[in-house]
Order: sequence, then structure tokens, then C-alpha cells
Amino acid sequence: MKFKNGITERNVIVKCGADHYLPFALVFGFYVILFGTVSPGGGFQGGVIVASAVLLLYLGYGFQTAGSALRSEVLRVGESAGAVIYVILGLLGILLGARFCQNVFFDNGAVGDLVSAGTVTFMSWAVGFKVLTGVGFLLLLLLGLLAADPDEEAEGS
Amino acid sequence: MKEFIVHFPVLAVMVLFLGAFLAEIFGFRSRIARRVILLSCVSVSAAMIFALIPAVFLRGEVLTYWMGAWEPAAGYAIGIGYEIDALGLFFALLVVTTFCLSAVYSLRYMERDRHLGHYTTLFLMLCGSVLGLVLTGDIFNLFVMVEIMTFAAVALTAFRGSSHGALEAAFKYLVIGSIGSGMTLSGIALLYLQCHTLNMAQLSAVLSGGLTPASVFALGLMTAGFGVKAFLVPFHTPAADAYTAAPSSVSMVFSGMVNKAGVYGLIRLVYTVFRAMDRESLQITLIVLGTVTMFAGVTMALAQHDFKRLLAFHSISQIGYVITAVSLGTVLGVSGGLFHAMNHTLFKGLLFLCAGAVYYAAGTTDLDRLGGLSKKMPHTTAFFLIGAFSIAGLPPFNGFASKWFIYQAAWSRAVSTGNFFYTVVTVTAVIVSVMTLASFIKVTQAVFFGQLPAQLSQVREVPLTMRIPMAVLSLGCLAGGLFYPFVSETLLAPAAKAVFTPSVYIDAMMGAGTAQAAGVTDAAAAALAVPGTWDPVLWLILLVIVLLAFFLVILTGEKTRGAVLDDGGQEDDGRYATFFGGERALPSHVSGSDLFWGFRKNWDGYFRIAQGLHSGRVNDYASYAVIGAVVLIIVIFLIFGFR
Amino acid sequence: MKGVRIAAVSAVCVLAAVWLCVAVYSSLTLPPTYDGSSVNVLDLYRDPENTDLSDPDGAAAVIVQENLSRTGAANNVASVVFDFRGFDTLGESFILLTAIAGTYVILSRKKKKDEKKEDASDEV
Repeated sequence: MKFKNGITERNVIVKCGADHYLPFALVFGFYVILFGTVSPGGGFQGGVIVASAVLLLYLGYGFQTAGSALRSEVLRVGESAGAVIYVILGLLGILLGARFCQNVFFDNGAVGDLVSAGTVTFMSWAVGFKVLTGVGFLLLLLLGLLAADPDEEAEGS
Repeated sequence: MKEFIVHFPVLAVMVLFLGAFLAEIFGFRSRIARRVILLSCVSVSAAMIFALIPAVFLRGEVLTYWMGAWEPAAGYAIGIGYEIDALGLFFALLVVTTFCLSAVYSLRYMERDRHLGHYTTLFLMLCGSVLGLVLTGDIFNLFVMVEIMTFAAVALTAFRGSSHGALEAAFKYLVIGSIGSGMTLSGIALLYLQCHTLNMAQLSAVLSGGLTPASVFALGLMTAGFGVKAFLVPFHTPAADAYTAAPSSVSMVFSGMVNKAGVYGLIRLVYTVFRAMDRESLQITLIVLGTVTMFAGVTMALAQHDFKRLLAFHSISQIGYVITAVSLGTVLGVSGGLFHAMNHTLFKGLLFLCAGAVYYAAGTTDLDRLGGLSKKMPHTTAFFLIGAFSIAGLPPFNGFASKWFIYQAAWSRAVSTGNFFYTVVTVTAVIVSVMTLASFIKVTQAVFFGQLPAQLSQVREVPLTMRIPMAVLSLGCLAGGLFYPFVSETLLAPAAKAVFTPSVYIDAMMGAGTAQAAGVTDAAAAALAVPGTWDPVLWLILLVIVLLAFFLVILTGEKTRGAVLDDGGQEDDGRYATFFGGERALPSHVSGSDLFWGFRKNWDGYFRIAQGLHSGRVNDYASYAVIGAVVLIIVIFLIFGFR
Repeated sequence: MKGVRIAAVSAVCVLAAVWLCVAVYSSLTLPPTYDGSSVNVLDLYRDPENTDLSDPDGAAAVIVQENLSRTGAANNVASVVFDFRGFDTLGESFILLTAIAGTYVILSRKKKKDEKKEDASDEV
């Protein structure tokens, strides 16, 4: 039995689950990215957790909604922008007279603060941004393949 | 400014990667942006590498650079270091030349394809990764660069996804490449567990205390891994498919740069890190690998019907030459091998660019459907002839000079050790050279000479931007052959000496005196002089006389060859009447499959086995790779077991 | 039958190779693979709490013991990943980007080919 918006009986539970878990995934993922240098975690780990939001949207709402909520062009450009930011952080070392990728302001805060480790913190954030946009784009790409399969549309009910 | 030159190695690599990201952001809509980014990044990087030549080649310094200024502490290297000695800069010059010319060529060659923004990104990532590979002094950084190179190469192989077999070739490359990367990583992990450091100079110092079974296993794994990257037999199987399926500007980069990354890794591993080349049994193992690669490559090439697949097999065969020469263990051998690596980049790049020009003009690379293109594409024919003469080893081109070095090195080893094995190697090298010549006679006749089929009568010469890189490479081939003493003194001698003086490498990175404390000794200074080579001037004079006679015969011959074949209609021009009383001119073009049919028929058993082994199934290819790696590891264990 | 023959031949070859290596190796005296000079792994296995791990060897010693003074990061893994070996992490993120760009190239070809096939079948 189909409700409107193509949501069948099976999907209501999944949609509710996605609704409830999405904020948790996002907040936890951003926490892991932001506090990467202070508590376990870091850019790569947090980025993948945030990118799981794409999966939750797809599972709950289907590819049309997920694809229109997150535009893949923006994600693709965002990934390259994250990489450029990381390289620029490395080049900061050369600009300030030291070596490439040097931690040029590593004593800018007490140990245990959020912004305490100099370029380590910022590089972690840049990598987190890069991974979240990159993996999000990859998931949209792969899920787009599944959604473009005409058989799936036909046997929705 | 003088201080800033210290940063040039890192900046040369980072400029290429930055260009890749900028091309991804800006290069998707606008063609101008893509071209500007590509050409500017490539030229800036090349300029930076050329700026390092005076310091490294002329003054003999070894440049070191610690990332993040993490100098060694408590005697251990805690950071990543770039170390550029003459060997690394030699390979970096090859890499830089290749990608500059390929970038210029791809401006017009790739204009009919879509998704060119991604092409620029992937191309710049490939170039940056290989450049980073040859400049680094840290073994895990080497691995990371190998990974970037593998993924970029797989993506570029699959670039023309609509052409036949491109996706399949990329899949095979990915599977076999991943097997190689996995083995390399395992070897590196074992080496770190044993030596507690990842810096190649320090590894060399630590390993001089004796090799434990774990480090011998690591040597075996890493040799197999770099053999996969260099496409030695039995790891060569994805190379044939990948070089065929990739666009020609990318095939040129594969055969010119990506192969050499594997060769460089192998040289660094066995000569600098493990310093194991004083054992003759390891030399013989690598020479056997190289010789089998030479022979298998050229015999498979003789049976091919596709232009680029034939060139791919020849590329495999020439890398076999390089590995054989480098594994001879003498300074002459190593300099012959390095010279042949340089010449291979030049002439094989030229040949792949000519194949691309033929594809651009005629739309096909099937040897059975091409013919007589010299009428319509004279410049491409001239460049191709120069490349063909170089690879076949005819004077005065560069292939002759480097093969001459290799024959002399192998023969002097045979004479000095009295071992019959080296005589066999020399004779095999000469035979493979003759078969290379035969194969290129076949290709030249099939593609450029003979009769032009009617459907190809509209082809035109390729644009100027595509001819300029081919001209530059031809000049390089000619200059390398004519001025080979100059090349040998300036480029090869420092590089070959750098291979045999690991203590200089270690001291530059870890501080003076480390090598002596660890007991690393160099080869004696007398052994480092490159002995004079045999004088080929008499042979050159003989060849020039023979060529002059040949051209005289051609020029005074008849002009009726090269007529455009009619597909079946009536000949209405009386000039082209044949001897067969009124019948139309029969197609008499000797195509690619017809030449050397007698040779193929005589060796039918061998070709059936060889072609059956290249079945095209990735399961077979992967099993060859794994079995080859296992045999190599067992052989290396047996070598190091006997003290 | 051909598969069984290949399997049998391979099994025989592997067993022969293993026997050869064992025979060669048991006749030689080799230095130990790992001499436990820095960390005694047997002690660590039997009694993890009371083993003295304050003296690691090699580069890891400097990185672990001088982490807070050389970098300000409390998370030692993050300081190794982004500071001591930051250049390798840069390379790894490049690998991610290359893999994603490559996937896009390959998959967009497939989508284009599927669309072209659907168009062709629609026209017929």
C-alpha cells in the first residue's frame, strides 16, 4: 500500500529512524572532527561519520530527496577546496621561513584546549572537511547508480 | 633566492598537486582555465627541477630536506626527508621531460573527448606522484606515492570508457597493481618492525649489521612489489591491455614514467637500502628475470595485430633490457641500464605519440586496416622512422649507443667471470634486438608504406601542437646517439657513482660519520671509473654507406607503388593498367599479419603456448603474479641462506 | 578434470618447495628474527600491567616521550598523523581524491553508455 511521496508501509519505520539518527550522526561526527587533537578521533574518522548522513537520508527518503538535498557538484568542489586548504596549511611553513608542513605555531594554547596544537588542529579540520565532502560525493555517485536502475522503480510497490 | 632553492623539490611536487585540485574546481566549464592550469603547473615544476641540476650534477652535492624540520633526534629519524642525489635527479629529469611533452601533446589530442577536467586532474596527480616518488628519502612516502600513481593510472586507463576493452584493462591493472602494492606495504611494515625507522638512509645503516629472516622476507616482498610496478615477467600482463586502452598521451606517460618508477624503486632497494648486490646469486636472479622479460616481450610483440599493443609488448621487452643491465653489478652495467632507461623514455614516448597521431588521423590502430599513410602524413612517418631506428638499435640513434653499453657490460662480465650464463645473456640481448628490428619493419610496412586503403584517403597530417613534442623527442633520440660521450660523462657517470656509494647517501641524511660507524663501505674508487666503450665509428660508417645505397635504389625505382586502392570498382585510368590482362588492380598490400608469417608458423608451438597463457582472464593473470612472487621470495630466501 | 590435475600439480609443487626450504633452513644457524632486546613480548603477554614499557626503541621512543614538548597535541595519534608524518597524510588524502575522481570517470562512462543504449532501444 503506497502513501503519498512514494513512501510505502515498509519505509515508515526506516524514515523515522533516519529522522532520529541524522542529528546524532551529524553532531557526533562534527564533534569527532573538531576535537580531533584532544580526544580520540581526528579528521578522517569524523569525516566518514558525517558522510554517513548521506546514507541515512537515502535509506529514509530515497535517492531523489537525498540527491536534491545535497548537490553533488558542490560536494565535489568542496573536496578539492579541502585539499587546497590542506596544501596551503603546509605551505604556511615555507611562507613563514621554515620547512614545508612545519607546525609553525604549535604553542598557541595550553595542551587540552580546542585550538592548541597549531597546524595539527587546522590540518585535521581540513582533512575532515575533505573526507566528508569526498565520501558524501562518492556515496551519492554510487547510490545514483542504484537509483537509475529502471527495474527498481518498477517494483517499488 | 639562494635560500629558497632549498624548497624547490617539495614545491615542484606540490605545484603539480595544487594544479590538479584547481583543475577540479575551475577546469570543468572553461577550456582556457584547464589549459592555463595544465601548462603553467607543468612548466613551473619542470623549471624547478632543472634549477637543481647545477647543485646535484655539476657540484656533486646531495640535497636533503626534512619535512616540518624534524631533524633526527637520539640518532633516529623521526620525520620524512627528501633526499636528492644524482640517481634521483636523473630519474626526475626523465619524469619532467615526459610529462611536459605529454601535456603539450594532449592539448589537441584529447579535444574530442569529454570530461577533460577530470583528465587534467588525474594527469597532474599521476605526474606529481611519480615526481614525489623519485625525490623522496623515506620508504613509506615512497609507498604513498606508488599508491597515488596506481590509482591515477587505473583511472586514466579507463578514461575512454566507450572504447573497446578500456574498463576491462583498468580492472586488470587495478587487481595486479593492488597485489603489488599489498606486497610492498607488507615488506615495509616488516622492515619497520625490524629496524624501528622508516628513513631509507638510516635503514641502510641499520641493516648493515646483518640481515635477519624478517628483513630477507621484506626484501623478497618489496622486490616482487616493485617488479609489479615495473611490469617484469610474470607481472607484465596488465601492461599490454593498459597501454592499448589508455589515450596515447597517457600511454606515453605510462611507458616513459610509470615503468621507470618501478625500476627506480628496485635500484634503490637492492643497491642502497639492502646493499645486497654484492651477492652474485641475487644478480643472477634479477638478470634471469630481465632476460625472460626481454625475450617474452619481443616474441609476443611479433604476433600482434594492434599497433599500440605491439608497442606495449616492446616496452615490456626494453624494460627487461634495463633490469638486466642494472643487475650486472658493475658501474658500466648500471650506467648502460640508466642510459637505456633514458633512451627508452625518449624513443618509446615518440613511438606512442606517433601511434596516437595515427589514431587521431585515421581512427583505428588495427594493423590489418592501415596502410600507406606515408603519403598523407609525411612528418609522422619521419618521426616514426627515427623512433623505430632508435628502438631497433641502429646507429647513429640513441638506442644503438645504450644497447652497445649493455652488450659491452654483459660481455665484459662474461669474460671476467668466465661464467657461460653471461654469454647466454649477451647473445639473447643481441637476438632480441634483431627481433625488435624485425617487428618494427613489420609495423612500418603495415602502417606507413604500402598501399593506402580507400577509406583512409581523407586522412591529413596532425596539428602542429601534436608534432612539436614528437620533433623534440626525435631530436633527443638523435642527440643522445651522436653525443653519447657527453651524456655519459655529465648525466650517467654521477648517477651510476651514486648507486655505488651508499655511504654518501647515508651521511648526507643522518650526519657525517654515520656510515662509517655502521660499517658501510663503498666500492673502491678505482672500480667507480666508467671504462671506455668500444668505438662504433667503423660500424657507423658502414651503416651510412649501406643506407645511402638503399636510398639510391629507392629513388631511382618506379613510382607506381602507393596507389590508392579501389575497393572493387573499375579502374578507369590507363596509367594503372596491370599485367593481368584487363582485370582491376588487386589489393597487394602486405598488411600486418602477413609479414613474418613463416616465422610465426615455424614457432607455432611456442606462440600457441604464449598466447594461451595471455588468456585475458584476470584470474589467470593474478595467479601468475602471485606464483611469480612466491617463487621470487623462495629464491631470495635460498640466496641469503647460504652464507 | 583439468582443474583437478592443475590443483594436484600445484599442491605437489608447493609441498616440495616447503620441504626444500625447511630442509635448508634447519641445517643453518641463523640470528634470531626478533631478539626481544627492547620489549620482552613474553613478559608483556603474561603480565601486561607490571611490564615496564617506559623505554621503547627507535623513532617511536622520541615520538611518544617528547610529544607534548614538540607539538601541543594531547592526542598522540593525531600528532603523529598530522605533524611528524604530516606529509604522508597529505599523500593519503590525495589518494582518496584520486580514487573518487577515478570512480567518477569510470561510472559516468557507464551511465552515459546505459543512457545511449536505452536511447537506441527506444528508437527501435
